[in-house]
Amino acid sequence: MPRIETFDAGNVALHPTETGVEATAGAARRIGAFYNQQAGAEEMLARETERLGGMTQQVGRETEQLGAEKGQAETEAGRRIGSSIAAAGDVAVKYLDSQQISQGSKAYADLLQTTTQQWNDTVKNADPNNPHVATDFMAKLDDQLENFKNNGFYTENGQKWAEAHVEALRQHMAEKTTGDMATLAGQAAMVNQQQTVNSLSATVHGDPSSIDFALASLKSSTEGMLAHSPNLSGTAAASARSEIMQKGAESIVKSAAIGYIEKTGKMPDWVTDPKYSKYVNGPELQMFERAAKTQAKANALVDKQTQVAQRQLADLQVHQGATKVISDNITFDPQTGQPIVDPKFFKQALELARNNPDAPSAAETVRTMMNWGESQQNKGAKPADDPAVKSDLMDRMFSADKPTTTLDLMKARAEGKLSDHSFEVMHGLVQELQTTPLKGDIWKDTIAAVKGELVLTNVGLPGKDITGEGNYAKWAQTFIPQYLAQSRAGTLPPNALDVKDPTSMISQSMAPFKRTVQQRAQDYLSSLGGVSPAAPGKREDVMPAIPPVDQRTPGLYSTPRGTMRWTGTGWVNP
Amino acid sequence: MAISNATFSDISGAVSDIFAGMGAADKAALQAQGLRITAQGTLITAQGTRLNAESLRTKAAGDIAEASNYDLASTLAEANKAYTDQSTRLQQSQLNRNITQTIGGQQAGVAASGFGAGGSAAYLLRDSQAQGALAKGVLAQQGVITEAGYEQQAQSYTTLANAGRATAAAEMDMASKTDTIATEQDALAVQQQQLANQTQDVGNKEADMDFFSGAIKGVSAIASIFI
Repeated sequence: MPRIETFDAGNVALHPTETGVEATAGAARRIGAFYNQQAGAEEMLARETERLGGMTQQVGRETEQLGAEKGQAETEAGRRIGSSIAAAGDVAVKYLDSQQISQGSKAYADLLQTTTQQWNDTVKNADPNNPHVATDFMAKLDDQLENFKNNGFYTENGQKWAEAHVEALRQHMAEKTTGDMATLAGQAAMVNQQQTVNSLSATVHGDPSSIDFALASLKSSTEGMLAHSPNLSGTAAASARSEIMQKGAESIVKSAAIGYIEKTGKMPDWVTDPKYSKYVNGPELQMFERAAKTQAKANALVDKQTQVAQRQLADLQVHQGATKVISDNITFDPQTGQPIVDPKFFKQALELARNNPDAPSAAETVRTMMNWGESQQNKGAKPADDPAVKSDLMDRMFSADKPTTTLDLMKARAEGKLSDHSFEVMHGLVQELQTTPLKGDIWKDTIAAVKGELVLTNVGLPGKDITGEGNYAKWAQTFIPQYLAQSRAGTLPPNALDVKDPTSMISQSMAPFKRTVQQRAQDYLSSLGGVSPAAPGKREDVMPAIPPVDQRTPGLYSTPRGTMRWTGTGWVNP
Repeated sequence: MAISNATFSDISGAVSDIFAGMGAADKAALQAQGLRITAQGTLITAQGTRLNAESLRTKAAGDIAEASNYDLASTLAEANKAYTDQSTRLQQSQLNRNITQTIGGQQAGVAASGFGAGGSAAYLLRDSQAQGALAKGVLAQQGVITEAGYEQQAQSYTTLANAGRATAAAEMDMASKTDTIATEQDALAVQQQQLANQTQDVGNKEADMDFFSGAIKGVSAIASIFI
């Protein structure tokens, strides 16, 4: 049988390949490796960069550290330099301190001495109650202290030293001035209160029943004085209070007791009262008892003396009344100088006697006045001056014991021993001297010197220097009114009474009445030769009174030495 | 006022203060300079940090590229799997044809030989059929095995690709964070610059105060001498 062949494709099959897959997978791995390689390089760069950054930061930190160290080093250097300067300065300052304090010590001692002396000088004449004395002194002291402090002290310790010493001195002087003023004020208070005590003592002496009021017044016045005394305080005030109160009360109580004793002649029963007995001790009580007994006796004597005193007082009243009657009723004719007697003179003179019946001198005084009045009514009589009487009246003008009175002048006039002119002049002088007495040793010596210059005495011969006596009287009549007028006006020159100074007021007033030795002898001898004592009286009538110096004009004047020229400052022969 | 220890103490203090002022000025200048250098270092460090970020991004790009190829390889493996299926079915067709031809030939030969259908002929036919069935089974099984291999290969590459992309994403995230750090480092550098300026100002003020204090002490010392 035929064999019919068919196409046999064989063992066909599809065979998938791994090539592509493996290639792709291999490519993937390679790509990853490449990228990783690049990334690794970048990482390395990054690490390097970071390391660079770290190193840079380290440089920065080190720079900072360097800055800190440099700053510290410079600061330390400054500190060391400063310490050196401070150390050197300390040494210099110590040296300067020592130098200034050494020099300041001496100046301080001088200042202390000076200020102490200044205060002593100030307080010596200070008013104890002036509150400004201490403060004013301290104000001035402050200036001195400031001056001391501000000169020579230019270091701090020096100034501190000066400050401390100035403060100490200020404190010392403040205490001293306050203490001294307090002491002075205390002493002044003691004196002032002593016056109060004396016044209160006098009060209770006169009125012992007022003793309680006096003691209360002492306490209140003392407290008031102490409270208002600007310089008195503290212990000084307490001390003054204690002393014033105790001593004052003692004085008042004792004075009251004595006053009581003097009034009653008995011991006061209240003196043993505890309220007062603390101010009186045992011996004083015994003294009071003795005094009471003595006083009882004395009172009887006083009664008698009182009567005498009353009579003396009445006499005084009579004299004062007589003076008033004379002044009121007697005037002088300006033309003739003769007295003009008012008719009331006699009536009032008699009333004077009636009103003072206890006055022993009343009768004689009135009699003298009446006699004088009657003599004045006898116009025919023209009595002339008796130089002796006139000289006596003039001498007693300046007597402190028995001065010339108007009654003395009246008596002399009534007895015909004093001219009307002299009566008028001397009456005026008496009135002047009653208003302003010129007494005392200076005046006594001055008058004696003037009299010695104008009156010749002790010549060893009988008789008197009648002319000199008259000149002396006229000098007194001229000079005394001028002197008193200037004295009242306050225009007296310091040498007014200097008789040795030719330019003095008294020497100028004496000049017209001075005489040469020959004139004195002639006048004295003429009086021995029977010259009438009335002759000087006549000269008064022809020689006008010389005006006072301040009213005198240059020219010719009639003087006891004859006609002389007044130059304005002195007398010269024409 | 007067000359005293205080005078020289003032002079000492003035000198000390002046030097302290100079020291404070120098200290401030150098510290400020140090801080500026530190700031510069910080900026450089920031640049390094940025380079690190760039490196991460490079790695990420590499990972992505690698993943893409793995994707491609996976696709190819999937294609091979399809090819294997096609090849298996093709071989099965060819095997069926061969089996059919063989058994047909045997039947024709038997028939031609006249042999009955029983006996040896039947045996031959049955053996051929059994061999054919075996061959067909083996072929089918082989195809399944090969497809499974390609399937596993494709899956493996897909896994690698996915891992590469995940890694790239993580690296990109890290790069981003690293950039943030670099930015903060820049800000830190700016603060360091400001600190440097402030340090300079403070130092200058301290120096001025020291100079002023020194001047006052000097004036005080002079005044204590003349007043």
